[in-house]
Amino acid sequence: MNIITNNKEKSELGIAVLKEVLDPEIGLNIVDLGLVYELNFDENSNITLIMTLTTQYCPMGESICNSAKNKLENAFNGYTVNVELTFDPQWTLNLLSEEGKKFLGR
Amino acid sequence: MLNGQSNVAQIANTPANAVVPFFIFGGISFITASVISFFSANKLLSHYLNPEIISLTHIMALGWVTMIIFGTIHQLLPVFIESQIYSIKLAYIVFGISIIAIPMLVFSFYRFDMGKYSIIAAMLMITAFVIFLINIAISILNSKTENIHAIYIFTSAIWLMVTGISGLLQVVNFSTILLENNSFYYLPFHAISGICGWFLLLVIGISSRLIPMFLISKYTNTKLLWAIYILINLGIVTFIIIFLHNYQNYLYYIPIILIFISIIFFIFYCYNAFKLRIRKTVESQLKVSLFSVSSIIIPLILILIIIGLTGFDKMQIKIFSIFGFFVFFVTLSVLILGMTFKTLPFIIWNKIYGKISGKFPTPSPKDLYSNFLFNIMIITNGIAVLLFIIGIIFSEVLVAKSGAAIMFVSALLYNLNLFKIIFHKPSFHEHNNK
Repeated sequence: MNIITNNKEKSELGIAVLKEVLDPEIGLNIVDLGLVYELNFDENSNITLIMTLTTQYCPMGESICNSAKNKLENAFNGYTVNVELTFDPQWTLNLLSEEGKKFLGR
Repeated sequence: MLNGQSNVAQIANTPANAVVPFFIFGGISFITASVISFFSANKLLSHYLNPEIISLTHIMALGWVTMIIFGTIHQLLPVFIESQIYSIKLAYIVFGISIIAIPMLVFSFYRFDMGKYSIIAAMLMITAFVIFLINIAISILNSKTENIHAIYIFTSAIWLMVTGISGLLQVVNFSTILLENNSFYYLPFHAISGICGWFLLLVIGISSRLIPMFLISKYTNTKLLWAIYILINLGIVTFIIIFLHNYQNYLYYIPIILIFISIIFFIFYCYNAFKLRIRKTVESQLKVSLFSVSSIIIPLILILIIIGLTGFDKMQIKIFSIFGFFVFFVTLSVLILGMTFKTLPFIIWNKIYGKISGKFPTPSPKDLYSNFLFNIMIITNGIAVLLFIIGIIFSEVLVAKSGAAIMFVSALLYNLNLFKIIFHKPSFHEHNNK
């Protein structure tokens, strides 16, 4: 699990919060699922989360992104969260963390 | 740093309102079908060419299976083609036309009225099929990605139109002589294009994407899917050629064997997806769907027996009845019973909790329906199917009637769970938090 960040300290809390965001179908959090690519913070209290989905136009995609945004806004009071979706690189099963694989029974 | 190209709103999927009505109509049709089968159980045991069985077949094929498929495709096509559906309005129009045409057609068939009402209904149904085809064709053309699953869906929609047109010609032929033979003669043509062209291609096209997706499987094999696609289409076209040229009966083994091989290939595909899955635990909804997909082989074995029984009319008719029953009440029905609860709860959950998710505690999509009712529904369905088949084999009306009564219970449980999902309200605590 290699999440790029420009602020290690804040990203620790951010990643912990994002571990509470579940993919409703799989039941696994988006960090261990490997959906989170980048989490950046700037001096104007903006957070940019760059993430992907298991499939583009995933029926649950919008709610997963909203959930991540809402969780980060709750954890970082006064910050504006911007969620950007990217499909480059595309999500593959290789992005699953060891915890994620264990959760799924492997 | 990666460059996030899109924002979240751009991946918005088909709205629930464009999908849910198809499920409601499908659920009601399933109940209606179980009622018709109860009152027509004695007819099920005689020759299949009677008004009750024709109307039962059409409420199952159009009202139950096709309507749920229409709803599901409007929801899932964007996932397959990675692009939005071309027009939501067209989805509403397809629904609007279908809810007029299907009851009209079924009622006309039940009364064996092949006059203007059944002709109008058939024409309306074809209009709905054409609009559906246009909508998915433009959606696929607008998408940037090319994929085999979309090609399966598109081809199956063409076969659906062929089925509709052949059906209309048969209905018109009752009052105005259009065809060389009587309308019933063309039933095999109508049946093969509907069952193999529409249902089989579609089930394989959708399942080959959904099964690995739900199992979180590494397995993909596009070449194998192309081979299956070619075998099925070749099988249907060969069948039609043999039929239209009135060739020897034994030649029908060629198309049936082609389709048989394609099913074996597909079962092999599902087995590999299952073997290479990351998700160890398989939910009961998916187990039910896997069973249903594997059961496709049984109707094909029955067809092989039917061809072999030429000359033994009584036995042939009986096995033909089991074949029809198995296709609609087992393979397709069971697939819907399983897949409904893998799709609809997520659609409704998204609608209710999609925006507030992450702000407050929310239930999981699986909490929107009762797993207990689901299990009872599957058990009653299994008992009903067994009783029905025993009833048909031994010509026992009472046994078949009991099967129909239990099927009614199963349909009722399906609808109870369906409406539990559709009318789900956020709990008081969540309202307060809003």
